[in-house]
Amino acid sequence: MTKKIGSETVKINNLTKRFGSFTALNGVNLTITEGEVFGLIGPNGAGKTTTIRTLLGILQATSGNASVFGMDAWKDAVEIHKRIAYVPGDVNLWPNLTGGEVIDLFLGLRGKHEKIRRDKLLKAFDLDPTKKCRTYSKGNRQKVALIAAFASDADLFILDEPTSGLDPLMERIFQECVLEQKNKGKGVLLSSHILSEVERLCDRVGIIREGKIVETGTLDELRHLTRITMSIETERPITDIAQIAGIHDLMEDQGIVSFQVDADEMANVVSHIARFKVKKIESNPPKLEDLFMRHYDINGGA
Amino acid sequence: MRGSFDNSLNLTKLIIKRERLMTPLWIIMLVLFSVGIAVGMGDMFPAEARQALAETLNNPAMVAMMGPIFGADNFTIGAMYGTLMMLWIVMTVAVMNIFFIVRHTRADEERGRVEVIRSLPTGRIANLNAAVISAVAINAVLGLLTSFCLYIINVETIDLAGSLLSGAAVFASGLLFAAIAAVFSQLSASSRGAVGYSFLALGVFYMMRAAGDINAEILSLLSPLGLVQRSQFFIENNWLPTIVILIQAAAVFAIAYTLNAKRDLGQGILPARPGRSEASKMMRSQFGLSFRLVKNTLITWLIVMFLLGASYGSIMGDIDTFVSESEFYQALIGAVEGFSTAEMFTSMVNSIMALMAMIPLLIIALKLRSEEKEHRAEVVLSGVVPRINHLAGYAILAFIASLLLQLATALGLFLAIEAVLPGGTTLGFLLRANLVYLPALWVKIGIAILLTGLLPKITSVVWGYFAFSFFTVFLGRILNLPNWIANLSPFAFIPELPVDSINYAPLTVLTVIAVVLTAAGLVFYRKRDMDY
Repeated sequence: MTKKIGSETVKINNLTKRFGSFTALNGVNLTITEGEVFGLIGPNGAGKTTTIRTLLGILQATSGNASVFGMDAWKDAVEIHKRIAYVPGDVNLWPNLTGGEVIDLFLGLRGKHEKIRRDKLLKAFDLDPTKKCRTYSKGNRQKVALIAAFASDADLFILDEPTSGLDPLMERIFQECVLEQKNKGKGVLLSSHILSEVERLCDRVGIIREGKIVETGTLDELRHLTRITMSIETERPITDIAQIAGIHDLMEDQGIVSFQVDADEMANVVSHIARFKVKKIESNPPKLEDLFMRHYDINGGA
Repeated sequence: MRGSFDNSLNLTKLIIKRERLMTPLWIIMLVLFSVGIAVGMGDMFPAEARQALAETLNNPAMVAMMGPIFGADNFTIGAMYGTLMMLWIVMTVAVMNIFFIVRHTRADEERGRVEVIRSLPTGRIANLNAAVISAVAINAVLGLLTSFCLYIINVETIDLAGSLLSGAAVFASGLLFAAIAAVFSQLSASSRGAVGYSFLALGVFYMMRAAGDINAEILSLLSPLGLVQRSQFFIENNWLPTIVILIQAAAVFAIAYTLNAKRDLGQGILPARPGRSEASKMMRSQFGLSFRLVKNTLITWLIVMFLLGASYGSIMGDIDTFVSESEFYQALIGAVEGFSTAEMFTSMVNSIMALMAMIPLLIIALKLRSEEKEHRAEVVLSGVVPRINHLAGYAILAFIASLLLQLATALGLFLAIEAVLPGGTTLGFLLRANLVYLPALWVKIGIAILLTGLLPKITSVVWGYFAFSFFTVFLGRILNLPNWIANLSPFAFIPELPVDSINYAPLTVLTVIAVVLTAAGLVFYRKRDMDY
């Protein structure tokens, strides 16, 4: 296997998927390069899972195409899957097999059994492999899938809301596992609702809404697209600030003025307020949550 | 598409591991049943009795139910076994295969297990293929054991050639129904749908055979059930039906594979209707929910019972033609003077229909247990619902359903008889003849409720008891079972109108037993832990 840094692991081109008359994906474009952790965020029903299932070749694209490692996601599914590890959000296992048996089954289907890594991960995730799956809680079933995934030597990890059932301690272990894979140069596609997790782990983020990728880029790039929250205290009262382009949600409380400003109008604002003798200035870069909200909230946004 | 079958063998191993209990149990029960009957027939029927039976059975009603009587001239034990039993053995094997295939294909897919499997380097068809390989193995073991055991019991005329063919026929028809279930698992997006359509197919094949055996043989040949009977086991030992069924199975499997390779995971091919966006007023209560959950089952079965009643009723016309032609049958009718042929026949149909009604009734009575296993009962119980009401709701539904089902049967019979034989019977008589079975049905419901409350792990035992009743009633008409065995089933105490007259004492006792069982079940349920 030759590895070229920066080559495309995943390439989704104008992907459309319809179920009957319902359009689940409406022209999705997405690229993930090697060694990159890509975060896919979006509300329920936006198309995250459909995108992932199409990548896995278990749904067939209505039009457009999806390729992984340069191979067609539908036609070459088996070849692709030899180098992919997948963890679904809702893991359902066979009630009368033990967790250990299921992990070994998943590893066995790949053909390689990494006993040492498996046992290390069992310990890290604190999972009892001798229990029958019917007795596992949601979090424990998720651990089974996570252990089977991280114990494999896959080149791309596809994780669909993998931590929805984990406690904060296990969530941390999970993050360590992802970073470890990233450091090994493996690619990760992480779909998640936990934005702090995405912020911490992901190099690039794509926001999906109503079957379309509405925004994609590094967190820094995305931040430029949104507003910065500022609060300013000046000696002289600020005047005429409302007239400056790009100011929103202006409020004044006991001499402290707070507002949001479009990132690209920042220079104008700063030069304007400088004239009123600034005593104190606070600015908060937008959080992923703000980005998220701006794209989802139908009434909000620009 | 490369590697569509990759990892099939590993997945087959997984299926076999998961099936380590269930399938061996099915196989043992099936072999014990089919071989046990053969031994029993050998012991209980001397030659003259068999010959008399062959003549008794050779009438349209019995032919509709059991199939054509082959080898009636020399009704050997083998001929009797092949003629009367193979149909039922094959149908039971079909049921096993339907459940098996759906369990490992659509049901696993519905639960999201196939998704993980498919994300691994397994072929697109590998999961279905593994289920099919397992089915071939299971049916092969079943067929071989059937052949082997039939041969070694050393019953006269149950010879090697016939035993081999019987096993082969079991193998082939098991696979055909596995294939049918595999196709419906692709077509329907739910395991319920897949099982439902497969059973519908089995039912249609049975009816085709019934209609075909009476007056249009082509229908029987088109039905695998009719076809397999034409093997004439232990008489002609014709291998052609078995070969044809094997070819049909292969063709149907090919359809299933093709559909599976083309379709999206989790999707069916038959459309699913959108549901309502708001709960109806009726459903916003615990009882309303329970009703909603069993409504479709109940409606389906009411239609099934009505249609079955009607189809039995519709052969009344032929019965009279037959009676006028057969001195033997006239003699038989004369023996119970005062009753019309139609009435005699309905008395038998009624007992069979009451047994059929047990199926939906047990599904309803055991519904809470299945809700509990799927962790849905706890959501309801966490609301302001007293526990006892929850189970009582299903019990009440089952009791109401028992009444409705019996009414549907009576009505179906009445309308059909009225059409073919005007004035042949009265609705009042049919109502009495069917409703008289209610106490026996209630006892079974009571047992289901008691098990739910007391021994939730083994509620399915009641299905075994149902099977027992089925065979005592059904085979009791053909074999002379000892009384004490027949009396273990509540159905033994139900008078068969109009031959018997209504005796209220046993009916009252059965009703009291049913009430006590149900009440005990409710009390135990209130006290016990949730159990998954």
